[in-house]
Amino acid sequence: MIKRTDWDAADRELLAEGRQRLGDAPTDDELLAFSRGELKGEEASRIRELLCCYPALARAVAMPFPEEIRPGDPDFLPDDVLEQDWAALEARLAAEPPVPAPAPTLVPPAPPQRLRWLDLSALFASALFRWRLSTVAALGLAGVLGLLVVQARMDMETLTRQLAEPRLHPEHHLLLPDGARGAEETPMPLPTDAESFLLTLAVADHPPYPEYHLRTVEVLGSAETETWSTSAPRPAGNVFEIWAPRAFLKSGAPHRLELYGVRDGHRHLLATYTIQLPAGVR
Amino acid sequence: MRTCSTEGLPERSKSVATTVSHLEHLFQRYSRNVVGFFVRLGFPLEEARDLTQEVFVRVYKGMESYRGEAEWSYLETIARRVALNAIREGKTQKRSRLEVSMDTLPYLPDSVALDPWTGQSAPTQEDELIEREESRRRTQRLKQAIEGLPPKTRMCFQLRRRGLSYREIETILGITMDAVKGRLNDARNLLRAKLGEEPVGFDRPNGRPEV
Repeated sequence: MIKRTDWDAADRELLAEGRQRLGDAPTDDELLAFSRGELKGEEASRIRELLCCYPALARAVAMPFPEEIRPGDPDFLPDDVLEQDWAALEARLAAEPPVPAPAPTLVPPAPPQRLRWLDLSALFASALFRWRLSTVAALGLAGVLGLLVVQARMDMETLTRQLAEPRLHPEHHLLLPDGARGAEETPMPLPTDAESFLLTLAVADHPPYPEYHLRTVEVLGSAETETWSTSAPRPAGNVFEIWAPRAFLKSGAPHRLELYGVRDGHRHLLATYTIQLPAGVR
Repeated sequence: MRTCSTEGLPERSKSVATTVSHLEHLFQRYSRNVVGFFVRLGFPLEEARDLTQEVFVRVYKGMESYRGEAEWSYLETIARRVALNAIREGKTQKRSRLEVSMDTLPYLPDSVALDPWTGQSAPTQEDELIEREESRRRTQRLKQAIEGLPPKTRMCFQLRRRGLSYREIETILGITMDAVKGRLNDARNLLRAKLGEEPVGFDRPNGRPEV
């Protein structure tokens, strides 16, 4: 007669053996990606196998959130307890250091979008003209078509993956250098309703340098504070793109973006761009 | 509950006060659900309240990047992260288990006629050895039977055995509720056939998974 304790013992041993065989528990990011249905095929199967061996993590991922907690439920918190918890939270937040605003990032240039197999199709076309062989034509075309299908499929998978990633929707903003914005030289205003900005500045008008240096300076009266800086080689397309979260730009204060060319360790100021988020915007 | 006013505050303080006011709105609206989530995961109530605080601190810190359009799913993601973290640190039901001091256990002399817990004859050393060996054999037999199940059926069975609800198994395995029930039924029938007896202790609907 098999007892409940035997079931427990068998399960404990199988659990331990499974963990030894499959390895460590999945990371939080893997688990959350799994729960959002972003993992496919073998990767999803691997996480399922692991979750079978880490049931507490499995529950944390799969347990539905309680939609409504009613008075009388064992986990219902009365109003006074809730108020007490809120007071404790407020006290804790007051003791927290202020949250630093995220820094801007230089956006790497996007890889050129083109079909790699187009080069192969050109080779086959060349062979066709030289030898005029119908076999080459038939085989070549079939091959190219096949490769194009594979390429299209890979592109589609890449696109699907990119679409599933968290996305930023920055407000695109082309910067004009100071001194080139007309008679009234005021800071360029940034729109108030954007969460972040993609600041674009061109270097094509300047002599080429092996390296460039970018920095932002916050201007408060006569006081200037450097808030961010980075160095980068000459960008493809002669355009720098900088992603800047709105929280980084203190509203009301002008921010000066400075572009330097760097040669032999010496910086040459090429242009400045003064921008400003209107006062009162949070 | 107290509300925040931003009147008369300097610009920076106004921004903070607005954030806190928004947080208070979220807290009032959702904190019971978040506490409930942790309790249902097996955390003691006090621990669940602490973890809920942690969730809202993280929400506060991420407020600048929060868009406001799907606050529930934003909170849910953070709560799940906090839960995963706490589980990895081993904070679940282990703390709520009854702890018995050695001092409270009854003194047992070396030679005793009756087991003070059951009132039956105390087993001899030989009896204990036999029982241990039989138990080991039964466990091995069970393990073989479980490992012999088809992989999908086995996984479904093991998740259930380890305390997951039908709905949770449905989510993890990405199958329908009917498929979950069907696989569990298959597992029961296959195990019954292999073991030659009704699988006792097969199902643990109230069990809590081990960390």
